[in-house]
Amino acid sequence: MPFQSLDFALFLTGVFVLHWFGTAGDTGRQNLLLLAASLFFYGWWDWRFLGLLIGATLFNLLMARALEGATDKTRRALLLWTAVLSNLSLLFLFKYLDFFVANFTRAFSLFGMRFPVGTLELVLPLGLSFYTFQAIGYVVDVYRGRCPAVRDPVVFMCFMTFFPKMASGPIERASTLVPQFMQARVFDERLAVDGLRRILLGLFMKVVVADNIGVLVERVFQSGPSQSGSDILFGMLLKPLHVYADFAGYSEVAIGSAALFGIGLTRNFAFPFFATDISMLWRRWHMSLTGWFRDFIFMVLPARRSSRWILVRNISLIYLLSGFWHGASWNHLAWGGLNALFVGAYLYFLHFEKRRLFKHPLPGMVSTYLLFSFTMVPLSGDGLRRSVGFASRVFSPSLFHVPSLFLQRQTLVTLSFIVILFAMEWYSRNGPHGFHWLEGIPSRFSRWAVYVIVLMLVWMFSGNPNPFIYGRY
Amino acid sequence: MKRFSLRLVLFCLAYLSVRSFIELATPFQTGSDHLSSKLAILEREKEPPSVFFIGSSRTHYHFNPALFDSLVSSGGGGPVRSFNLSQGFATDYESVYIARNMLKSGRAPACRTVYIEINFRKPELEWEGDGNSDERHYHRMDPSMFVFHAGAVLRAEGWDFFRKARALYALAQVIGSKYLGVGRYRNLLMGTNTYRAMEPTEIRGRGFESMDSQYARLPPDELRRIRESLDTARFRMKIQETADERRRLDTSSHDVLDAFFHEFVREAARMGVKVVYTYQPNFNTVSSPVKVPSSLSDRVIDFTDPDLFPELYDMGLYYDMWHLNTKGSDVVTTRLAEIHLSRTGASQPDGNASSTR
Repeated sequence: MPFQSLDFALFLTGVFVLHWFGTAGDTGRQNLLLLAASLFFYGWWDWRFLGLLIGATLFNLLMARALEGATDKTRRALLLWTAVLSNLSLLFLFKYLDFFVANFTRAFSLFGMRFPVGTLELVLPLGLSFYTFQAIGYVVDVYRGRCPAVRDPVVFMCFMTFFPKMASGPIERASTLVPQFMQARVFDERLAVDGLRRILLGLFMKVVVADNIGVLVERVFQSGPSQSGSDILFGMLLKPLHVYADFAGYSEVAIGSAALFGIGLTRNFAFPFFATDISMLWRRWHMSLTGWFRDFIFMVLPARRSSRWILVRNISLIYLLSGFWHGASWNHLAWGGLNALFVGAYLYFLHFEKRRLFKHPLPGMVSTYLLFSFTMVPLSGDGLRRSVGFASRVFSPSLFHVPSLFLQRQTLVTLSFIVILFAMEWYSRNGPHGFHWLEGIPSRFSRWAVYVIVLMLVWMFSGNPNPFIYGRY
Repeated sequence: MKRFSLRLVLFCLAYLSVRSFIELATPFQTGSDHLSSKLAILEREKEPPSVFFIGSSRTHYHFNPALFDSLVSSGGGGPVRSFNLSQGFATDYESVYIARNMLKSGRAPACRTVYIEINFRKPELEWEGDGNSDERHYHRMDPSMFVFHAGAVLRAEGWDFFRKARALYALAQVIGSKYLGVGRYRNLLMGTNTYRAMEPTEIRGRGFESMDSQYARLPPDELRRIRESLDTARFRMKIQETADERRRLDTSSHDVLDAFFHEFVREAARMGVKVVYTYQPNFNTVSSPVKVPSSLSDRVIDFTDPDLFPELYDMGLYYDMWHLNTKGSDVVTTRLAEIHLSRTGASQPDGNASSTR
């Protein structure tokens, strides 16, 4: 049930009405309703994986309880590692096993050794990467005593399966989300209105901006490296925007949908393309994941304060891991590696030296965007070789041709949507989302006119729902 | 909560009002540049046509009005003027919608006969159409069609509760899509043509385009690939399979579509127009159409029937699996002219009798 479909609109309306009219004032019944709705939402994608989701959820519920009850240090460590490794094995089985099998057999075949091992080619369950990380975070938090183990299975299942964040996050922390399911929820009109606004913004970002950019990006990278360098460069420059509008759009719909039920989800993006350096960009991009890596990997890596070099090494390791989290492929590893390189270099040569390359923020933003676009080159092709082919084609005489895509009206209209999005974000940069600027407009008529126009654009482009990019992770 | 709900309802009403206003202000062909250009050609016609061919790309490439007119005239059917108002990807509902609006709008004052292509696809599964033509399918539905469809689904015999519920849910989605404006005006804004191979500028004559011009536009590599694909044992086998499959087609007809097509026959008759439905010859959709309903049989010309039209099972007549080439178009137009003459009581151009379903 994609967020941009009529099915989801009907589903969300139905759950909203039942939540506030059918079960209002009874938190237990409201939670039960949200749980049933979440399982229905997940089952709509593929009901066969419901068992896996429920099983993983109950396992973590029980492990955390056992962990909290245990006093012996060794037993606690054993329980913690059992829980963490079990969650990781699930992820490994569905997401990484084939990658390792294929690469090991290929590596051994270089020495003439052959293994009759085939890949499993399992379907990656929806949201697996997100909910396993959330579960690991929860168990570790209980171990560290940062949050108590949840006693109510319905509340815990809501925490794990809440439908707005089920498919692609944000990756939530028990300390912030669980209490919201435990306390009485009172309808807050301001929150609900803001939620609807965020849903509209998210749909605009996904359906109007991202999907239209996607058409252009696909046209460039599906055609192969035989195109002109200027076309490929144009596609490369559009790629980060495509991913951003798609994923940030998803996150806005998720946060907005949750707000309709009085639930606040973690912010995932904070206008990353206004960042003036690559490190700042990453602090504003997929914030729930970077926060997770910071708290559960970086903070436990040894000797993090001993030297500048080791600090940079640890941070770079996080980016490599982040790349691998996004996908089990050499392309994703290379993407993570490039980010590790650039962030590491920035920290080592500029940040720690308290130096800045540019005094004015604009050149910083532009250069950061260009650098970030370059890190996405490995994601442009199916294999690394193809990606390198694209990159090398850029540096050819055809770079100075006018990109053929520029001559199409479709491109110009898409670019105008991008400009509109950036203008909205610029005027909302001190707020929580890109529609924050509307709060400064006193006339309701003007605000509604904007909503009507945006909604018309959203429906205009929503004929064939394109899957969200992060739905694959 | 009440205030919020009220504001939400008011906003929805405001949105729907704006949408409806825009919709009312735009002519029915908006969003289909192909149809718009054909209607522009129709307006320039000095002699108003009396016969119309309406359907998908198959009808567009198959029925040649100039040939049809000359065959009917030479066969003693008197002077006749026909026009091809087909467009790519058209569904059954859409073709009927176009015919209805054309008649209602007074663009075809002399119209006496309309040949409408049908495929009898199951509507509860086929609402969305495919690819770029989605937007048209949603918006080419009158409210009366929705009411009719819903009633027919509810009355349909032999349908269990779940089948009816599914069909009604699909209908609700279509209604929602229409009034919310899903896909509407996208082509206009983005300047994209709905039909890759059917550029409006290429349509000449009376809405017909021969496959010769289609061939001429293709890059040499693609043309070679198409020709090679037709010259294979697989395609020959497909022709044989299609003929065999077509002979043993025993799927029951679709109650809702059956009733819908009857309804339009009656509606057109009130305007003095005769409606004839046609199945177009092709080799790729034989498993999806259902059997011609017996109640409509005198209103249907089934060009896929291998016993009635064996000459159309010749691979030399095909451009691809879906469309006849220019030679095939001549053959099928000739057969249509014969049937037209036999139904209007005149002698036939080549003297052969032809039976139709």
